[in-house]
Amino acid sequence: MPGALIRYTGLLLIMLLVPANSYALFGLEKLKRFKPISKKVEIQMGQGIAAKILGATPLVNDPELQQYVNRVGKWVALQTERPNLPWHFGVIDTDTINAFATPGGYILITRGLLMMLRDESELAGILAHEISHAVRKHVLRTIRKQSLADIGRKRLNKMAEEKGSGNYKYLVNSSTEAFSRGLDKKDEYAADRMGVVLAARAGYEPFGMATVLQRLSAINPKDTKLTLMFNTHPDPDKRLQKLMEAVGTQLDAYAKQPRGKERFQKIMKAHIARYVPTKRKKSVFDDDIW
Amino acid sequence: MDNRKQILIWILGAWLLATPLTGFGEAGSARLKIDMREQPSIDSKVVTNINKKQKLDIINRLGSWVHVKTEDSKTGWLRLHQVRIGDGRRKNNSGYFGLGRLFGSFSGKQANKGITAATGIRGLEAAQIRDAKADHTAVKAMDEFMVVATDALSFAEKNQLIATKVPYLKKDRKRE
Repeated sequence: MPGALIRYTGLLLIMLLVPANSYALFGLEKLKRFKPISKKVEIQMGQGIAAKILGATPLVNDPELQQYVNRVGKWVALQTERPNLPWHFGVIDTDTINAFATPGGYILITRGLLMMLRDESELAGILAHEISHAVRKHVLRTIRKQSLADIGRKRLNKMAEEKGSGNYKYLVNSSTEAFSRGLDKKDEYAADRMGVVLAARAGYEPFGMATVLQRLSAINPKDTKLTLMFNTHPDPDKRLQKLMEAVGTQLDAYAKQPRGKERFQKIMKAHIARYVPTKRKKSVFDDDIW
Repeated sequence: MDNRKQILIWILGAWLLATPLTGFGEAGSARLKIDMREQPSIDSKVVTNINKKQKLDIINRLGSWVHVKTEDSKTGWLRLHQVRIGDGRRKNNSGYFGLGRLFGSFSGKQANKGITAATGIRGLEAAQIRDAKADHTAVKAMDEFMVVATDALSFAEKNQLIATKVPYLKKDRKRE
């Protein structure tokens, strides 16, 4: 009798294990397809998504301000493992509070968020968070997982190169779809952790981003200006708690690094404080491409 | 007498100007029951115990530490994430913070109304991005503001931003 029991148990085990094993194989097969996309394609996808965001909200018409944000952003980006991505930074004309990273190094911050900030270390901190998403390819991974899982790398590369074609349009639209749903929570926490380090590397007091999270957590989540940010990010208070838990005292040595308060406030006062939003112009390409 | 009055007015004026800039006296409250320390360090002496939701005045910040004052005028340090800004309730007028607070004209509802009416953009919703017509000209326009590495380096040098070797946090080091 015990022999029969052992025999049956064995059979049962095999029955249980086989499907599990085939799922694992299936999973592996999927993983195989997620080979890295070429940098060129990554940048093209980023440009496509940036074009959609800028289609919804134009850039703030203030070249000096845009250049200032680019200087801070590029300086922070130089502290990463991917200093040579074509880093572009832009302030977009909405009082919504948010910032975006598309693949390939196109980073956008809203005028609303910029106006919430008190010093350059806070700006550097936010840009560092977005730069982290781009460096770690968080957006790219999300897009591939959610929208383009069934398309192989070769075909994806080909699609991205056919700029203006229906295929390219499909690629960008599905990327934007995945993008607008937001990233995995763990990617947001990871970018918070990496961002404070990048800010410290760039010579800033590292907790600018943490202060912004503290301020954001004092705003009613029902405030419409935060709708998209709260829909696509974990609660700012939870982010702050998790970030500080991970940081501990590791960055205390950099607490006395500069915050660039005077410089930042002077620039903001001369630019954004007097900024009169311009009416949206119709793009000459509006009827083109898509 | 006139001289004294003038000096007083100057002091008062300077104080009024300085207050919003330094954030001195910003209202806050404790997120949890916690020890208040004499210095911004975990090894520092405990000044007093702070109760959950106890009202605090935020004086200043040094890195991850916040200098606070209790209602009975005791001062000390708490960690950044142990302090909430405001009375603990979440406010609607996000313009109250930062520059919105600095430049009076931008704070509160009125400013929002003005800006919104001028641009016709009511918040940036996910659907707006999905449904938008791609603006490739605007993406190209970003090239104009793009900064090369040497420009970023001279910006940093001019503003005394010194690049420092800082390892990733312990939690993330496996990746390196």
